[in-house]
Amino acid sequence: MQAVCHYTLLGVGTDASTEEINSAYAQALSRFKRRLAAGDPLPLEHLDSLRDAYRTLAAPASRASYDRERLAAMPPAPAAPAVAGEAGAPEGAVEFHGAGSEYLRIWLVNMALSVLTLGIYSAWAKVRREKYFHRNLVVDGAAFDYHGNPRAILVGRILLFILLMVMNFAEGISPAAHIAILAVAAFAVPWLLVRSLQFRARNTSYRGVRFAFAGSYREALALYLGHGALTLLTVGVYLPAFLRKQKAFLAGNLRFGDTPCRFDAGVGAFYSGLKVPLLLWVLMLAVPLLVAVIGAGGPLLAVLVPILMAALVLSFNLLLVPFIRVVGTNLLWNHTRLGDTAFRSTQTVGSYLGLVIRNWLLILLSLGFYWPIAQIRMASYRAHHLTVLNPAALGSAAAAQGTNPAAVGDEVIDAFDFDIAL
Amino acid sequence: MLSAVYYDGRSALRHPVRLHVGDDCLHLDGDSVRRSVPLGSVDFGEAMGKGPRCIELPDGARCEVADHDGMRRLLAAAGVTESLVVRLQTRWRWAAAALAIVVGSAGAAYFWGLPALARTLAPHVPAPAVKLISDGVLAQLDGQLFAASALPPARQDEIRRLATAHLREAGQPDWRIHFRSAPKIGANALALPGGDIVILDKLVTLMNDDRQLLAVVAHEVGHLAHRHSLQQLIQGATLSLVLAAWFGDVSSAAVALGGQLLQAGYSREAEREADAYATRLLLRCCGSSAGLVEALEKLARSEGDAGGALSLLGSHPETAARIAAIRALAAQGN
Repeated sequence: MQAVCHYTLLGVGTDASTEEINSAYAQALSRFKRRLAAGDPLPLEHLDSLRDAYRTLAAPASRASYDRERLAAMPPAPAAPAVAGEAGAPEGAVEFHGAGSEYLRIWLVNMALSVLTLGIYSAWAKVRREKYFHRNLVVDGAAFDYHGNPRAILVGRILLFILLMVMNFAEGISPAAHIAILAVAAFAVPWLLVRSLQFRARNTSYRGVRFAFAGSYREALALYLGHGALTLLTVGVYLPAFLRKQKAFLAGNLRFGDTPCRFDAGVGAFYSGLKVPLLLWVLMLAVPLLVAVIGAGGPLLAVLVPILMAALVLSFNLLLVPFIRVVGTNLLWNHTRLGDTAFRSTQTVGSYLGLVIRNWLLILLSLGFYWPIAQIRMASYRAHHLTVLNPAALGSAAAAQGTNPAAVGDEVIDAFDFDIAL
Repeated sequence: MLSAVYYDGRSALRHPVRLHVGDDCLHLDGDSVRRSVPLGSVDFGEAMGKGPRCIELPDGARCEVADHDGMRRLLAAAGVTESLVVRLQTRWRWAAAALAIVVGSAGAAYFWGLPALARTLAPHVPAPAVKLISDGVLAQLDGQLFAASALPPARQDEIRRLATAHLREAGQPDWRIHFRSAPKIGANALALPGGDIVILDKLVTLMNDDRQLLAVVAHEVGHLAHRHSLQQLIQGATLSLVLAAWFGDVSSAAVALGGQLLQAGYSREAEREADAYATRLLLRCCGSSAGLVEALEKLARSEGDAGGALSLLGSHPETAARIAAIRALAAQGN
């Protein structure tokens, strides 16, 4: 009787070689023995399922038949609860318990203490904020948690402050220095992004197991300097392909303990999901160009072009950006698998746009003090539109070993306001 | 007995346990787990609203508790009190105090902190940087707003000679006068941080008396002596940084407009300082500050005629108040 995917249990990919499976099994066995020696044994069933997994995967014939069964059983994989007595629903709603009034108080106290300590407390404030949002996010009865170390975050913030000062200073000195700094930044930002994703993943836990991010600097560089530049060069036509690469980088490199995340959307899915904004975008670019060519020099042009340009900017911000966010988020979740667990994201452009506009208006009317409540509304919206399929399968994940990188990357992402829709 | 879920930190397996406190230990009791941990090494964490409470054990294991009332009883039994920050965060009274602190500090920073910072920093900006900024601004204005002056060169030289002869004093920053025409802007003059005073043609034609022109130049020299444009640069940069952090991801228009409004408050103060400087300088050099009063009156009248787009944001308002201040200062000086 198979309870958990054999590959997941051994902590190897489905394409693992026989040698990898051998060594993974040896490691799992020694882990089991260590726990036994430490007087803190894992359940015996765990040993049984490990043996079962190894026997099946070590022999090519039984592995092939197992693979056939496994693929046939996929979307959604029908894994039974890992341990007798463990509650597990085939589908788990994602609940967000955060309340606007509660977080408003936390935010105000955080702000006041940060002001009184000349910004030093802001690192602790960040940890409290992250903890509030993580701990109130509940999937299948278990909450997420955040473990960022405020001292590491403080060091990151100080380094970030110095970095921004240097950049500002260089901007003032001369155009050449400015360009040099921008060139350095182009190579530094992907590095910071990777560091930030690592820090964030490593300091996020679910059921006592940490996440990890395995993306490399080289990948980030290729993504942002290569595919990002291509997006600019093609005036946005390449954007869906770029977004696919970006999501694959974010999700494909994520691990929950020893369980890798997989992202399997093709370019076609992104182009078909984004065909409406893409068409709109091309139209928006073409119309002013056409008007400029046809009515060249006419008095109508002087009136029309600014209006069209304003319409372009407005519809870009109000329509294209939310559209791309929503479609991107849905595609990201719907094509991501964590072991035998899958996700369903059902955000719609209309509802998302309504929320964004409402938040935006209330923040402006309240001179910014609605901001914390807006954050809560957004987190609720995201949770409300996300479902986890077969969340019980996450119970089979085992922790991986690792150390925390310094916090600097994460802080720079905060300051540059990168959107990591994950 | 409090129900909880235990995670060992090495796998994501869920172990239902019951918690209770006794003998200075936290006891965990379940089918697959039975542990006792000394209370001193248990991290009871913080309450985070309705989210489950997380109890962290020293070896990376943890318990999640959804029953908040039971948790309160367990904490009481363990003799653990919530941290000060948590107690602050849960009371509206303290949230209101926090709001007062935030708003109060923002006000103090705007009215005292930032002006003091700008005054302290402005003299320390290196001269080459100042020249770079100044030349950059003039080049930009020349490219966008300004055209060459239509005044005869002889008249330009005459004004320059007059100003130098009457107003130049030891201890002043180095300054020089440029003439430009700018049909889109009303009668105006401006001082760039490097010592370049730009006088627009309309201003020269508006002032029918050279005493008034000298007064305008004296006012601009006042801006230079106080390093107002550098101060405003520092203030503006800080304000937009703070506003961008506050409103950044909501609206860039709010950042720009808010910056303009807040900066206008600083401009008014700068105008008053430049007036005071000009009054004293004119009294010393020309024996009378009447020219400054006349110039202000003329400017106010012409701005009123033009609809006063410039006065909209209040950078030259309250002409009457300014004139009264100049007269009071002149009366003291005599």
